Amino acid sequence: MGLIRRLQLSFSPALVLFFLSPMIAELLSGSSPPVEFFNPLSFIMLISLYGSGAIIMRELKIRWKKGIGSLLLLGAAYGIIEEGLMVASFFNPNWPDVGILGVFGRWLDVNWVWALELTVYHAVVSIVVPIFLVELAYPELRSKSWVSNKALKFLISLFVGVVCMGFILVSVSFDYWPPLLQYVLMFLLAVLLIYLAYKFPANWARVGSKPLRSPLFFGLISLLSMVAGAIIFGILPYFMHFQFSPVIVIFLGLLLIFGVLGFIRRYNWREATDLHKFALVAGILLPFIAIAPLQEFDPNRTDNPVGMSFVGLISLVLLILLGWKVKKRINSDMRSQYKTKFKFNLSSSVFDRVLCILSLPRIMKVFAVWFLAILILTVHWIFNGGANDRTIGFSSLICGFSSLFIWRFRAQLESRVNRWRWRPKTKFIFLGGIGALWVEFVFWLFERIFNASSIAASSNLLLDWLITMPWYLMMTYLLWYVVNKYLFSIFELLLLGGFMSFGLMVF
Amino acid sequence: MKGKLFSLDSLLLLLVFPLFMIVYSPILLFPNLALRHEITTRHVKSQLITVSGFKGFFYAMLPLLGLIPYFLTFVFLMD
Repeated sequence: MGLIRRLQLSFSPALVLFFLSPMIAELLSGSSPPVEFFNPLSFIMLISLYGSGAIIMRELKIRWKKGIGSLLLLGAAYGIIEEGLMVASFFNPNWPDVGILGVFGRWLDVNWVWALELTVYHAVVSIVVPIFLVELAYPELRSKSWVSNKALKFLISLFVGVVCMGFILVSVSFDYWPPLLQYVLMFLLAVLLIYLAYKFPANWARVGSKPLRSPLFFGLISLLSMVAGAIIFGILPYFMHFQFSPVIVIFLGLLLIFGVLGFIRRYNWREATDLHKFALVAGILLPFIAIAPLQEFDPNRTDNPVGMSFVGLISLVLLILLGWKVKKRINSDMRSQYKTKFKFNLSSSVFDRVLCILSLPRIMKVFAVWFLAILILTVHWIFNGGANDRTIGFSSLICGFSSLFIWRFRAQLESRVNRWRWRPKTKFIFLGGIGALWVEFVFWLFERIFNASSIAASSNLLLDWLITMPWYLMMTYLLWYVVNKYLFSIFELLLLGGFMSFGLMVF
Repeated sequence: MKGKLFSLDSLLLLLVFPLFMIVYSPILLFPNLALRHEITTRHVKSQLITVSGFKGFFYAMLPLLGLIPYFLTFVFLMD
């Protein structure tokens, strides 16, 4: 029981990664459409291979205290193990997915263009992207190991077992056995990449000094890189038929890979937020999401791509949800920063207040503009509207100024109220009731002044209070219960008031 | 029901949502600011359960139950 509990505790993000890696690399990419992916036998094979592979590579990176450079090298080693050693697609010219690359760039019994493409694909899409996504979803566990030593040993055994079993099954079913020398060299290359990952500097990607640009910029870079990669490896081979054209494709591919890595590395990633990392990952995934529905309706496909549109849609929704979560977390961090840096109060200087507003999250800035626009509209109603508009505009402004007054003298108010020997709940309901009486009085008063009608509940103030106070007292009573369950910020309280007022109006 | 504001339908009423916030602000801020310390202390000392997420949203909507007397009055008057 103890071992199971330990495994359960340490497996939560690892379990997500275990399923996410094959889902991105096989399902979303369309290599294994839903019908194929969810076939019990292939499902077990795929999650055992990709899932254990991704977790092992991440654990090596964490336990060796390395960075993204090492993870990319480990991902490349994974690609070689899967495609070169397990299914031997690096060597087999008749492998189902290899297409023209079984001929184009084939030399010494190796499909070189295909090998390069698939190594990079698995490094980025099967390993780095799922790991980044899960780390973005579990930020507090980002720098920690996700599995115990026992679980890691089990996963390594599972990975090796699946690779060996897969090699035998694929070789027998395709009746293709790879050339021994090239196969051994590919094995040594995978070992070399793992060794290089172990030796690679941890701060490789964090030495740039160029000021970091917006997340959108890096999202576009990764998106365009994916499109460029698809053109180089997926389209050029069909149009280049002259001698040494595979060398040019490989050269362009390498230029793209190292060019993009070098370009991104120039920036100061020490200042990066999670939104930058999310943008990079989203840029890589968006082309897959975009082409998922096209795959379903592709008449040239020989397999059954039913459900690919659904896969694309679900992936898009999940990606948006993760982006929203990341954005919310960053906004929350920003809020706590500006709260301590620029505490907004009436005694602050104008400069401090401007800084306070400028450091608001974007959604709050939008709300501030909205709020200001409505205030201007209210003033417009006061001067140009009818009697009812004028009453509502004036009364609302008086209510707003009353709140500012309460807020300005909140310390004095609090110390005064503390002296009362009532129960807190009684004080709360009493004060809420006083506030409600005041609001109703203000509306009633301006209705009289401007000779308006149908705004206050009754033209008689006492009757107005008699009609409306049960609602207000019940509301304040329930509010006391609510504020004891959740500590509202001032803004949240104002929002709540808005909803309640709006609810009453609609009712 | 006359005037520009009353001619707006309920969807357009959403546009003037900040106005609703302003109108109810004295009712909510007055007791909450006056008892801010008391409420915070109750949260910290008594270790009251703090809710969040969807449940928090549900709790926040509880004060709307105060409309029940009006609903009953409405039903009663309609009969």
